[in-house]
Amino acid sequence: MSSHRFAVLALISISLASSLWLLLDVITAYTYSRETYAFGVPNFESRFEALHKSMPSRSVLGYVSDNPGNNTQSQAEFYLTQYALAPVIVKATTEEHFVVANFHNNAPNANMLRAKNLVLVQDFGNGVFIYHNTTR
Amino acid sequence: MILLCLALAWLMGSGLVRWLFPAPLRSTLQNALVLSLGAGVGIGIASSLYFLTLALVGPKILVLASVEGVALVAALALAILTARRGTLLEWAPGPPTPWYFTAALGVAVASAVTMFIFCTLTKPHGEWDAWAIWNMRARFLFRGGEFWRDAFSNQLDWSHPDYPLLLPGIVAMCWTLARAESTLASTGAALLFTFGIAGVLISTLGILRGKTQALIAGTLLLGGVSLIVNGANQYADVPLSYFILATLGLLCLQDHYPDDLRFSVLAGLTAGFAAWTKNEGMFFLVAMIAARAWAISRYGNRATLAPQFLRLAAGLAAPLAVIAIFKLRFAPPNDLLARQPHQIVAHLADISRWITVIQEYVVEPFRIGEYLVPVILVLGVYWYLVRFKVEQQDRPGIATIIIAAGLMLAAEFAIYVALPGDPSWQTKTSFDRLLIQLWPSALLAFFIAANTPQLQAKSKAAEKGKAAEKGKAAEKGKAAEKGKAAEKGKTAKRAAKPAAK
Repeated sequence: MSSHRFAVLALISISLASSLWLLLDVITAYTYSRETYAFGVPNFESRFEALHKSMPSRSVLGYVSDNPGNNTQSQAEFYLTQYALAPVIVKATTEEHFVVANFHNNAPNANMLRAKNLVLVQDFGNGVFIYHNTTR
Repeated sequence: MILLCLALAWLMGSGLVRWLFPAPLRSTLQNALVLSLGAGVGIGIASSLYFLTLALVGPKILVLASVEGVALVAALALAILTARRGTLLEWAPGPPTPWYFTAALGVAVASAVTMFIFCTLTKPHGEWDAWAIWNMRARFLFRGGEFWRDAFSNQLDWSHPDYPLLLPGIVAMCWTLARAESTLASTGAALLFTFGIAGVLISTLGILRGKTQALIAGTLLLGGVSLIVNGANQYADVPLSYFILATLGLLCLQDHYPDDLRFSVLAGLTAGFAAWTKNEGMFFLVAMIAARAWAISRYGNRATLAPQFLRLAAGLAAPLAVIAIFKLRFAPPNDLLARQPHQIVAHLADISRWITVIQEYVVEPFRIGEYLVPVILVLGVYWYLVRFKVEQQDRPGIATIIIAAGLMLAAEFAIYVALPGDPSWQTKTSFDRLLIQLWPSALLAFFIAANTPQLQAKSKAAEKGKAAEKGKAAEKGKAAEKGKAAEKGKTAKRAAKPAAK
């Protein structure tokens, strides 16, 4: 086999093998996402749908969550909340008149809410609440 | 309806490109290039018109539909009614291409399309940047109604509200005209850009270097998983990669056809749309202009510098005007540029930041494309076996690509070291995508420079046969010579005999 032919065949083989190999990974990921609880946009869209429909298009909400501090997961959930509620502006603070809560259960930490001066306005289910900040 | 809007934008772009490079309506390489470039150009124009309409008259669907409709009809009229002849772009001559090259490309396309579909089904809203920046901004523009300017609110500073609007614009335009929100708009645009890159690369290389080089490069590009996955994840790096490749490819074609300056006009337009896609596109614009000026001065004909740059400027003018309106009237200041000078100086003096970034710059190129074997090693072996042979007319184009890419990498290096918070996190989350922006253009330069592989095996029998043929021919030639000489001698003798008589 000539060196040119070897070079071309090696390059094409590696390309096709890489593509087909990772195609299997992608298909597996798709199957997994169908079979398991998927964290991501569709989940947030459905959780926040009722709140989104009840909000006027121009409003600003604060944000509170039961996620631990500043990690990637809590950042992602904040962005997903904003994405689901747009064009409402969501700010990463509780210092707003109304505050949207993104909790992972329906029994939020009462002490934490009291410390932040938050009083429940409405429970939208699936861990989504609207609170009123009594100091604002 | 949403897919129809995208298809019409594609048609508008293809009409404009066809007006610049008219060709008979049949299956040709030139029309493949026209359609590949038409996708990005059409999306760029449609998105710019959407933004201008919004800025001038607000969210009025009738005005928007009229403006986009007039632009479409004008582009189609130009494409159909144009009578002049342009440069005819055909496959560069070369040795016949074996059938298995086409088959390999077919398998690569099929695998890439399947991968794109499964990624999209898994994440129809795209990945992090897509929903945190691009599609979220599209939602603000579409859902916000008269308050669409909230998309650029300082209260959303974490989402980079100063980023340009090519992608949010085209998505919001489709939603507005269809009066419905659907992920089809962002997915369709992502599909056009991802596979448009393959189309531009294959057709440009086909014109410059022939079918064999084009098919090899296309198979290698589509075998790279990260381009397809990032495209399906709706990251803006893939559209930017498309516009960078289109611009640099058109400049290479300009070097091949120096008399037809329309390549430079179109390159200016696509470079402008690169800047309308992402802030890095602005870097590219500056880097491309500097690289082109140097490359022409060093390797090209200096007399062509002024005419080419005038055409580039003509193509750039419209997108730059749109960007200027957006940046000056609507966008808040860039969050990176808003840093204090003393912070920048402190970062520059921190040697650990340099080491972190250098480390990533050395390691990440080995991961480009997520091939099973590091592709830069594969290309190194390919180069060793096949070697480069750069024609004089290709030198300015290749130099433009290398210098522009080098300047972009240097600028990003400076940003990683000097500006943001943690360089390790920044490089790990973004440097791979920066390389994707440049990867198709790097492949273009590599395969313009590489020798066309000689695939026809020269067997010993064939060699012997040729030698025998040559020997026979030589023998025949000698015999003929001898025969002629003998004939001449006899004739002379015959002529001499009567005289003697």
